[in-house]
Amino acid sequence: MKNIIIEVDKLNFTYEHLDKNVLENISFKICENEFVGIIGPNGGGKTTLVKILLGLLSPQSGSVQIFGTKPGKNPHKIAYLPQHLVFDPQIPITVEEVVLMGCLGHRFIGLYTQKDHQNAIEAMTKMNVIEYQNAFFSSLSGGQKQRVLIARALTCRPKILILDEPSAGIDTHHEQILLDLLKKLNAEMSIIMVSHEYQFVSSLVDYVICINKDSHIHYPNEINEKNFQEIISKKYQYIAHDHEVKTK
Amino acid sequence: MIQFFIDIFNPDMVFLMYATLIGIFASFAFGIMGTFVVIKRVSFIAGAISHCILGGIGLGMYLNKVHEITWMTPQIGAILMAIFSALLIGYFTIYYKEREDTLIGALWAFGMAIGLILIYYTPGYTDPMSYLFGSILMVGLEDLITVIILDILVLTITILFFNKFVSICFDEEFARLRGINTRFYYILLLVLIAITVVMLINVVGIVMIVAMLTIPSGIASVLSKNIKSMIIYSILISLFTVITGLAISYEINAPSGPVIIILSSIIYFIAIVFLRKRIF
Repeated sequence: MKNIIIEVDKLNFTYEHLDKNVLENISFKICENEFVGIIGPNGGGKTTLVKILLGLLSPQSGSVQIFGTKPGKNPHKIAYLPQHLVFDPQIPITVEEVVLMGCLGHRFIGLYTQKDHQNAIEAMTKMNVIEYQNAFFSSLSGGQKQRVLIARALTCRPKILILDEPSAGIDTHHEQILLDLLKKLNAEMSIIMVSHEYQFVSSLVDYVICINKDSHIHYPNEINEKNFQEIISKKYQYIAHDHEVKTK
Repeated sequence: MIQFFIDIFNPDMVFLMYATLIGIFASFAFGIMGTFVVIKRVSFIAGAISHCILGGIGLGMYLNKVHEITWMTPQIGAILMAIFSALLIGYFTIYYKEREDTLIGALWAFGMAIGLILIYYTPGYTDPMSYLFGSILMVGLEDLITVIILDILVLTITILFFNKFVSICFDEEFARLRGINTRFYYILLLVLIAITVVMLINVVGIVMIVAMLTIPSGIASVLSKNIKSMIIYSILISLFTVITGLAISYEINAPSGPVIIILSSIIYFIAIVFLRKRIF
């Protein structure tokens, strides 16, 4: 039997400015080396759930356990690829410098070590971006940037990789490259992929968690193109929210 | 210009040697902190800190002369106010993001106004012009020692936490996810910028500090492939503009601060025109 690495139980969450829950009574478990999709409509609370798993937001009630502890206590076991990287494209920073940031937090002071550089090279090789090692990060295409950010996430050798809408802003060709790479990575770690497109995740996932205020678990054989809209729009409740707003 | 470099070694004109040495030592801090000011886009905050420092200078003068607190010199007042304003502005920018620019603008003017009032109530005449526009040719050994100590402090802390500073400038959320206390390092960065600003007062004065913290690094960002090379270029450009600016101002008998800024600005505009690949 596989070990449970994430356990969410009766989770409720709302933002400071809202009078109703963005997430309500969410419960699920994720085991090691599982590939899980989180799907749902825009505004349904998918990114909010991810931020709770990462420890960036705290729920008002319910429990979230990651490797048996509270979220945020194991920063090196969880890697995260954000939906949009907000950065200043004029910062002169190379691909290698970006990937090395994945080694942050290992020690309190000092520059990167030789081992950090080796880990970064290994991660860049794995994500097929080693040839851009010395290129400006901002000069890369959307798909290349995404692979660099995954390489950055991999340098700390995580046990869980969370990707928030990784197909946003990349073309079909790069989508396929990404899916192939994720399939390989799944042998080493659990992967949670957030998407509003079921087709994108359907070929890889063990199951999907539909988030639309509450949560429902569906297995790939239960979902097809015809009933997908019906599933995600069930009890449809779009709640406008800003992920940066403080919680109550 | 050659006369300037000959006179540096003239024992009767020791102030020139001090001015040159201060320019050289301060350029290291300008280059490093200027790079972070540019990539973190906090020039407005650096401007506010620099103007608040006039409040510290005024307080130092007032307490020293009126209340005879001898250790409270204008320089100590400037350092304390620089650190205090960095902490205050850091707190505001973290917790009152919605009104960040208004609050910084208010602190900017408030600090300066307090300084001018305290200077006004301090017995004896003090010309605020030397603080506002710099007086590098009036510096002494004590100023040089202060700059060296502050320089060592800034360099040491930056080397120790360099990767963390870069990460909070590039992707703060990722740094937070890596377990880094991003708020602490942001405020530490502001404190280091504030200390650098104190060093700049003698060189270019309060009014033009922002230019010296942004122009050399702005030019460097066009020439650089990564942040380390941006810092090195930034230090070299600072060294060149400060020393050449001093030499020109000595030659044409003009205030050194404005000459250094004019020289830096000309190089910056040339860089924009000829290195258009990356508009900043």
